[in-house]
Amino acid sequence: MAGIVIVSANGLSKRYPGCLALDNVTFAVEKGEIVGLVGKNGAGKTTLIRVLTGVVEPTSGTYSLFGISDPKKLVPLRKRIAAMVETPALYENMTPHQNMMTRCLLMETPNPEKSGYIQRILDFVGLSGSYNDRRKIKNYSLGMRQRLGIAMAMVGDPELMILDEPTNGLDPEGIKQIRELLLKLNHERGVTILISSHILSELEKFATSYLFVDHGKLLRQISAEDLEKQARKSLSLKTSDNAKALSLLLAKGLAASLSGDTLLIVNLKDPTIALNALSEAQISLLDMKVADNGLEDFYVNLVGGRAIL
Amino acid sequence: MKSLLKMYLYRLVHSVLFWVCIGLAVATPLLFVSIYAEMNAKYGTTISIASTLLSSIMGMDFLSWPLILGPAFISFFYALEWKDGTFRNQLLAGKSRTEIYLSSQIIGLLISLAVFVVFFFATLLLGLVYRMPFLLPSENAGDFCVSFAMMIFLGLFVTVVATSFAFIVHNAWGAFGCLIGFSFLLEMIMLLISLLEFYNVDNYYILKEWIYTYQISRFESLAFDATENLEGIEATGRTIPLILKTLASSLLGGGGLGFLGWLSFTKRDLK
Repeated sequence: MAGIVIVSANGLSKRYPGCLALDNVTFAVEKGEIVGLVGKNGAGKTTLIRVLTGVVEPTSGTYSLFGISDPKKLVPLRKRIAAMVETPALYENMTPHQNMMTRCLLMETPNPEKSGYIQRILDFVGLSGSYNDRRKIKNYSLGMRQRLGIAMAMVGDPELMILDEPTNGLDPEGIKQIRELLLKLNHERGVTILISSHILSELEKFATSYLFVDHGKLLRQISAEDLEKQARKSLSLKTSDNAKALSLLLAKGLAASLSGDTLLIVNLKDPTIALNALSEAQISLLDMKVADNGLEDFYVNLVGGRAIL
Repeated sequence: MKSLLKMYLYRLVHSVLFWVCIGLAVATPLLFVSIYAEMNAKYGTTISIASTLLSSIMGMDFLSWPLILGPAFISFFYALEWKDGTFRNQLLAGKSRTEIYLSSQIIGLLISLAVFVVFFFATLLLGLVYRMPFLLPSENAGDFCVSFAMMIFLGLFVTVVATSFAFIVHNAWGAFGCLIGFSFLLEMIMLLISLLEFYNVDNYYILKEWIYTYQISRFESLAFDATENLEGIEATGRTIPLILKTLASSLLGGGGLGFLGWLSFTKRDLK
């Protein structure tokens, strides 16, 4: 299954007046992947999603969906995509059922009411009671809107889901439910997912690879496996003789670098190798921090320019 | 495009504001009748309700409703798409921006026609109750039919303009304001032509025939005025040039603004 490119971008840029929101972004997402799009506010995540969904046109560069990059041919292909950009696009003055109906009509779903299609999707996202709910969307909580947005995105059995902060406004249980839902879609239906989220610990639980974006640039595309290798074992040290320690560690074949008065050692299979080497050379440790083992630290290091790329 | 039209129609029938518009279209002839009936009862006047109803149709008062109600509703109807960001749902259903825009124009025309038809039939229905004389003198029937057709055509032209503004200005009041401003601008041009007319009557008045507000007034007066004892039409001898200019100006104006609306929608970034 792996190897088929579902989404790719080649030198994609988007300029708004006075701001380069996307700067020469190139990446590829393969079928069946769950790709976490990571970046701080204003990094360019939403712009990237907006370009891929056709909401905005790129200033330069190209992108392809399902292997097609011709802009005219991309239009009908979007039917195979489900997307939620920022907040769900819902008619505020309509009920959840009516909103679902508009989506079903657009997607030409046959008999969505009689076949129980709408009810099934609403059940799937935990909105069973909304089918007969006469309340309008404007009276719904943010969490319920998010769920309905995902329900609407599921209409038409998409092959690719592009979700921008889908867990915004959800309670912990809701976040878990959405994660399980996405995993289910990915495992059972082979849906490829590109998802941006601020909750990195949550993303870490199910993403198979990551795209790190900052200031409109793609800093790195890395698989979850490689990230684990790189991010989980790193040390930052302050020693009595940093220069001597650095040459010693480099001689030992360790990926060490010096940043100010701090020695950073990444990609360590076993941190004791570095510590033993320093001890044998009688270099005293003044301070030591084991990098927090996760995506969050990797991201912070990456954005701060302290990770070895 | 069929699925887009179905979706918009679904939205339309579930729009409270749309039913308010239809309600107003029904209520207006009822209001006319009740006001005149009350005046007759209270002040002993002898206003013929049948004539009043006939005047509504023959004098084409009903057209003012699609001219105001339809486009006003259209401004709000499409402003909601902008506000709720729902155009992107349509893009993500594999629809091109051109398809979305054309569907919106078609739905806009249907909205105006619906308001138009409802007012017309509500008036006719009341006419039946009050025994309105339905038959036109044969010598006036042709002119009336031409005027009727041209007035509907102009109503649809205004609708296209309203929909175009709704896609250029992404705000209900802004779009409606532009439509009013557009009419106001044309009125100002009419005034300027009138000033020119003052100095050179023979050469400049013909210019007015290109302006839709003037066209409406001409077709209104060309139509049968039932309140004036079923008098004949006012003949100017310029009916054919007026029709041709109306067709040309509407197609050019509607086409031009329609093109601008399309350009604005297809070239701009969406919310």
